[in-house]
Amino acid sequence: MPKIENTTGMPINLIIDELKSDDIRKRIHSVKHLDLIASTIGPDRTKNELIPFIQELLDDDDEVLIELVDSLSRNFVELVGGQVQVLLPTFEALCRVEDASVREKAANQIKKCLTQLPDQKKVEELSIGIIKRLNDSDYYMAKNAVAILIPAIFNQVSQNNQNDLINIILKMSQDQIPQVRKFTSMYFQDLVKHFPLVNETFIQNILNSFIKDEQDFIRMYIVDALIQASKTPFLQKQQNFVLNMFKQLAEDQSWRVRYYFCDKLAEIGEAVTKEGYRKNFQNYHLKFLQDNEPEMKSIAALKIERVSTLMDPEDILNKLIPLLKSIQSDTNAFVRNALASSVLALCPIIGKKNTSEQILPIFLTLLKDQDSEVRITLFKKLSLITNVLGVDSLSQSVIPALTELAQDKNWRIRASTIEVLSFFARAIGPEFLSDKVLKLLLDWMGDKVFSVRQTAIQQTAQLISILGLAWADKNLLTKIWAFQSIQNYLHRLTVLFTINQITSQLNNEYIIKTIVPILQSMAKDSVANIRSNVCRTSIQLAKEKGGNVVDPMKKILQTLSDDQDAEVKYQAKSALESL
Amino acid sequence: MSDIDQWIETLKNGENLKETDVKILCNKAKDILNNEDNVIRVEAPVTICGDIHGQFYDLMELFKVGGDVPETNYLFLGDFVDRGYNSVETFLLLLALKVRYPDQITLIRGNHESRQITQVYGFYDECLRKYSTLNVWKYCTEVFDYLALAAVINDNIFCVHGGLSPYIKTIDEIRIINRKQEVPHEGVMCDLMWSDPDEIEGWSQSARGAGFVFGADVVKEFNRRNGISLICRAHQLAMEGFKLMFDNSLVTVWSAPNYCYRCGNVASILELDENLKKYYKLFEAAPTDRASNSKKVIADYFL
Repeated sequence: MPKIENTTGMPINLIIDELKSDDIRKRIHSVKHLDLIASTIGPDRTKNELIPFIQELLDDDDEVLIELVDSLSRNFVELVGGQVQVLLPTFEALCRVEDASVREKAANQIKKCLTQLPDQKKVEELSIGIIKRLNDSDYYMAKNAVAILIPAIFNQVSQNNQNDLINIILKMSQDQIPQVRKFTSMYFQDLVKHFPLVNETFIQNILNSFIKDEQDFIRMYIVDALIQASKTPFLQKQQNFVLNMFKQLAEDQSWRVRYYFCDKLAEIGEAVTKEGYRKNFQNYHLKFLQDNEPEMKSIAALKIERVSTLMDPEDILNKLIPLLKSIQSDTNAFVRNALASSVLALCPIIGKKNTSEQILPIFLTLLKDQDSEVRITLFKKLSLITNVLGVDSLSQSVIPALTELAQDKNWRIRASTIEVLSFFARAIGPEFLSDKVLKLLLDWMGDKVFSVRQTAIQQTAQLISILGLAWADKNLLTKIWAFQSIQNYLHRLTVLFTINQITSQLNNEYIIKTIVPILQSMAKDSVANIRSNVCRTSIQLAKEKGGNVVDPMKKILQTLSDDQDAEVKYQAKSALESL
Repeated sequence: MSDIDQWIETLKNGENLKETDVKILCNKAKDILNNEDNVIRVEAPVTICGDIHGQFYDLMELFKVGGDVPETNYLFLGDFVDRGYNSVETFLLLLALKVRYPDQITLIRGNHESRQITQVYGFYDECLRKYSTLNVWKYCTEVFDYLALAAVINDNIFCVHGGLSPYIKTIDEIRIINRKQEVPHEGVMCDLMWSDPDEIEGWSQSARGAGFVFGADVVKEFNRRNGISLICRAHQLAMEGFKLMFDNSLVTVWSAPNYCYRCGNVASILELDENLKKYYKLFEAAPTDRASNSKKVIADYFL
C-alpha cells in the first residue's frame, strides 16, 4: 500500500495534536488528514491507538463528523491492515448522529466493510449485533441505518435471524414517528428484491400499511418497491395486487406522489411490459398531460420521449399528439421547455408523412417561442426531425428563427445558435450559406461579447474544413480580413485569432500571398496587444507550416524583437529562439 | 510551464494555491506594485471594471464577455474581496495575472482592501476557513498596502475607487501621499477610497462615516482644472451595471452581478478603444450548473 505524502506543510505530530484542538477549524483540518496520520503511524498503531481515539471525537460538531466519515471512507480498510471489524464500532456510532448524510454514509461504509469479511458467520454475528443495537437505541434516527442494513445482509443470515429482522421492519413500518416510517419505505425496495426469502404476505402487509399512511412522503416510495417487486416472480403471483396499487398511486390526491409515479413511468413500463403499460398506465400518462399542476404537465411532457417506445404508433397519433397542441401554448415556460426536449423523439416512430403533418406544426410553433431557452432546447434535438424529414425542407423554416436568435439579448443563446447554424451548413453544404446566413456569421464574428466571437471563429474553422479554402476565401475570409481596419483593437484581434484557428486548412501559397501582408501590416499596429499576438500567430504558422513560410515569419519576428513594448519584445525573442 | 502560469491555471479552475505559493506570489506582486506611482498612467485601449467582491465565477463571466488577459487590457477599480464566497481565488488570480502580465492589467485599491474592513466583511474568515491559518490573510493585506490609489487614462479619464477629496484640487497632489499603509480613517487617501457623488452642491458629510459626498459643481471644477473629461469610479451598486451622472462627467461602473447573490442587478465593464470611444458591456451572473438545477429537490417535510 503506497505511503501517503504529507503535503500539508505541517509536521505529523502537530496534525495529531490538533485533533484535540479547541479550534474547530484545526480539528477539521486534522480529521481531513486522518489517512495521512494512519499511513504514517502504521496499521498496528492505527488499530490500537488512533481508532479508539476517534471514538472520543464522536461527540463533536456535525461539521467535524461530516469530515470524519468522509475521511474514514477513504481506503481506511488498508490503513488498518485489512482488519475491517476494527472500523465497525466507529461507523456504528456515526449511525446515531443528527446529520442525515453522515448516518447514510456510515451505514453504507458498514455495508462495504461487511462485504470484505470472508467469514460468513462473522458477518452474520456482527451485522445482527449492529442492527439490534441501533434498533434498540433511544435515538429514533438510528433506525435510518437499520433500514439500510437489513436488506444488505438479509440473505446471508439464518432463518431465525431473518424472522427477527422481518419483525423489526414490521414494527418500524408502524412506528408513530413519521421519519422512521419514511426510512422503512425508502429502503423497502431493497428488501423486496429478496423475494421469495421475504414472503408475499409480508410484502403485501407492509405495502398495504404504507398506502394508507397519511404522509405523502411515505406513500411515494411504494412506487420504487413495486418496480423492484415486479422484477421478481412476485409480479406473476400477485399481478392484480401490483397493478391496483400502482393505480392507487397514479390517482393519489397528493401531486408529489403522482409526480413520482410519472417520473418512473418508463421503469414501470419496462417492468410490466408494453402490453401491461398500454392496458393499465397509458391513460394515466395522457391524463397527466392535462393535469392542473404545471409540474405534472411538465414531467409528463418530459416523459414522452421514453414512454413513446412503449406505445402503439396509432395511439401516439390519435391520443397523444392531440394533447400536445395545448401544451405547446401552455403559459408556463418550463412546461413548453419539457415538451421541446422530448416531442421530436416521436418523429422516427410515426414516420415521414405523419411527422410532416403532425409534428412539424408543433416544431414550428416552438421555434418561435418567446422564451429563448425553449428554442434552444428544441435545436439540441434537431437531428431527430431532420433525419426523418430531410435537412433541405427544414432549413427554409429554420432560417427566420435563427436570424431572431442571432440577436438574442442573452449571449449564450447567440453562441448556441452559431452551433446550430453550423450544423445545417455542414449537413446541406454551400447552398445553405446564402448571403443572409453569411451575414449572420459575420455579425457573430463582430459580436460585442468575446465568447460569441470565439464560438464564431471556431465554427468558421469547422465550416472551412468541410467547404474548402477556395470557397471560404471567396465568400467569407476576405470580409474577415477587412476587420483589420476596425478602430477597436478587440475586433482587429479577431483577424489574428481566426488565422490561428484555421492554420491547418491554409496552404503555404495562400499564406505567402494573403496572410503575410496582413501580419506585416498588423506588426505596425499602434496597440501593443495586436503586435504581441502577431508574434504568436507568426510562430504558430512557422512551426506548423514550415517550408517557405518560415522566412517571412522570421522577418516579422525580427522587426518585433526591437519593439518598445516589453511583452512584444519578449514574445518575439522567445519565438525566434524556438525556431 | 513556469510556476506563475501553473498558478494561473490552478486559480482559473477555482482551486486554491498552497500557502507557500501564496507567499511567493504576494512577494512578487509587491515588487511590481512597489514601482508603480500612486496615480498610474494607463494607455488606452483598456477595459475598466468595478467592484468584484469575491464573486469569482462572475469574474470568469466578465472575462468571457470582455476577453482574456493579456489579449484585452484591464483596469480594476478595487474591492476585489469581501462579501462573495471566493475572495481568495478572486484576489490571487488578479494578482497572478498582474505578475505575469504587468503591462496588460492594472489594479488599484478599494476601501475593502483593508485589514479592518476585511475582518468584518468576510475575507478574513474565508482565509481562515480555507487555510486554517491567518498567513494568507496577512500576506494579502500586506499586498493591499502596495496597491496604487488611482489611475489616469490618456491624461483624459481619471479612475479611482470611491471619489474625490475636499483636501485636494489636482491629481498631482495625490502623487505625493505616502500610500504604503493601512487605509486611514480620514484624510485624502481615505476620501479617495470612500467618497460618493450625489445631487448636491459642494461637499457634505457621508453617511458611511468615512469620505465625503460631492456634487456636480465639484466634479466640473476638478475636471476642468485637471484637463479630465470623465471621472470613472465604482464603490456604489448600480442596478443597471453602470450609472452616468452630472452630464456624463462621472460614471459609476459596477462589475458584481446579482450582488451578494441576491440584489438581482446587472453588471458592466467599460471598454475604451484606442480612441477612447466608450462601450458599456453588460453581463449577468454566471449561470449555476443547469443539470443540478433541473433536478427538483423535494424538501424534507419533517425535521
